Amino acid sequence: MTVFSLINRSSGFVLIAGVFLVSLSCGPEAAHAETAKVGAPSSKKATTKEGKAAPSQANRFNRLFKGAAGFNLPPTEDGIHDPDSVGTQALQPPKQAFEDLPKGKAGNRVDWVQALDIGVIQPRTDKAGTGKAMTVLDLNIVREVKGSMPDVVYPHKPHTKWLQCSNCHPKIFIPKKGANKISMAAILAGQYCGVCHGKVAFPISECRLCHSKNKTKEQIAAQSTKHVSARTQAARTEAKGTTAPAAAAKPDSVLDDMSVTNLMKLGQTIYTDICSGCHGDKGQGVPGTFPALKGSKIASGDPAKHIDVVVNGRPETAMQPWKEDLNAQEIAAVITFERASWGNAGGPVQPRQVHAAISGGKAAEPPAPKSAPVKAVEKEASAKAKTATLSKEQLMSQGAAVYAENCSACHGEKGEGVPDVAPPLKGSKIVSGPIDKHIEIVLNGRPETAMQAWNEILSPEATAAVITFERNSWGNAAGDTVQPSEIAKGR
Amino acid sequence: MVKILKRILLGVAVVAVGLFPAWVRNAANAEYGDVVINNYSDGAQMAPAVFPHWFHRIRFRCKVCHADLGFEFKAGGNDITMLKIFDGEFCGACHNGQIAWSVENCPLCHTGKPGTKTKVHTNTLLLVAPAAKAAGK
Repeated sequence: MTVFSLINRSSGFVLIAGVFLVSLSCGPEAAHAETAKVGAPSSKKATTKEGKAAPSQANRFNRLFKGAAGFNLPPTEDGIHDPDSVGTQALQPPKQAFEDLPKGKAGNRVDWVQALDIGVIQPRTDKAGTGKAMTVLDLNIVREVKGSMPDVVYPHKPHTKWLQCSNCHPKIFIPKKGANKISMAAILAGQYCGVCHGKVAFPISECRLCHSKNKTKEQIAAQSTKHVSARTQAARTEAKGTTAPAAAAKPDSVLDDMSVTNLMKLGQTIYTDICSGCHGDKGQGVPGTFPALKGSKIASGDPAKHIDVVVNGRPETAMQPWKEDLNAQEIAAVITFERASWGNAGGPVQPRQVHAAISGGKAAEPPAPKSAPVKAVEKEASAKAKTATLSKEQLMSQGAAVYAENCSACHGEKGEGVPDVAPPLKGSKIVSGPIDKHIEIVLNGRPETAMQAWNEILSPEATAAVITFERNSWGNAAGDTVQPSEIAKGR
Repeated sequence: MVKILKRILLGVAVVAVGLFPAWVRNAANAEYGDVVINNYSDGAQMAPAVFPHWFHRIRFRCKVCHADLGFEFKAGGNDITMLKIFDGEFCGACHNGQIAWSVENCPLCHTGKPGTKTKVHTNTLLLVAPAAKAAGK
């Protein structure tokens, strides 16, 4: 890689010739530019189907990202390079380099992951280009998210083809399930995924590349109990009082009018818990992406409109319908809170108004809280089924498979580990020492290291098998075995 | 006839845009991931350096610079100076005439427009900067 690879073939052109060439050959592009220019202001005047003016910035999410004409401009036209500099004119234009690469929808308009996978680029894994292989970890982390938004599937595989564990762990992500308070607001502010996504890796406009695991209707319904935090659940109980314990199941039974104080109290908890992730802890929103509620016309205007947006969501935006996650009382409370906070001047809303909107719209099924306990029972039953006693041979053969799939990426195929990243298991004191410590580390992980807790990922049987395998492989001679039932006890 | 007129108008518009002083035009058209590094350049009467991520990621995995060479994931967060580069740190780890062209090619990096701020351009954070500020983050 020398300076010559940098030199643009067209570097000989002087600026004026370049302009001449552009004016002759780039008609279609210029047309795009024109459209884009005209398109931006006119979209402000865009009207909804009902003929009303489009609400503020609410639906402008993807429109903030440039059209095709704004992408891959040569350095002389990109606005940050000095077009008069000899250096600028010598640089390779991105378009030329991207010609043979698979196309992407955003960012550089290159699908970098695919480019690497199909081998059209072969970026070095160290500066000298020794060809040393990357330590690729094939492990998906599913992150459940609120509402009907598809869950996030985080794939380690494409990430570890570019990066090593220490790039992200433990500085950006604590390698422990549930330890990272990730929200879209934090990502947009450049934290967590936003350290790279939005700057170098594909931007956050590509929602579905991460939010890729669709929920079933049942799952969305089950979330009414599962997805609301303990804090909100406590507030629910408190608001309902001890006299109506069954209220959670039947929205109809919580339709009594509430005092504004109680509405505000419940509403604040729910707002902080559910809404603030996008709309901001002070209702400030995220300009251009998630609308502010502070000073919002909806939050100060007709309550029916406000109820409609919260109950049914906003199609084709990130605003989810909340009628299946929250009951009428909770929706009324959070709407009241929004209408009376941050200087907003809307009046309170009562549960019966929300209920009318829910039942007046499409026949909304009440949430099915029963499905959650049923699931738990099933889970327990399946856990019991998996606690049968296994022979050492069975444990060893199954353990080898579990190890290869989940552990070998860091600890090595033969337990040799990866220097500075993951300790060898071959000859390890823990693996040859007391078995309880070994089990404890596998189940709960090691805080502040890349060793994560496996208790929610592996079944008791798989855990028992892999521990037995580790203790009796590569010269480790602990000789003991562990049964699934012992693991189930420890979880 | 109308078509021809449109073409002519379009051509004129394109020439006008092309001749417009570059500093008037929008820096939001920078290639995705381009980082302007202007920690010291302006003060030293030198054009700011522009680092094109795309060019480098065709040739190197992220980890080579961000783990092996110790570049922080933050524009302006590395306190890079020419002295360090001469000593083989940061860019100087490769830009030494052996792996990549060496540092005497000043204008190949120092191509930025004077006064351009240190940051990752076309960054989605730019969309939320006012909100982040308001929230005191």
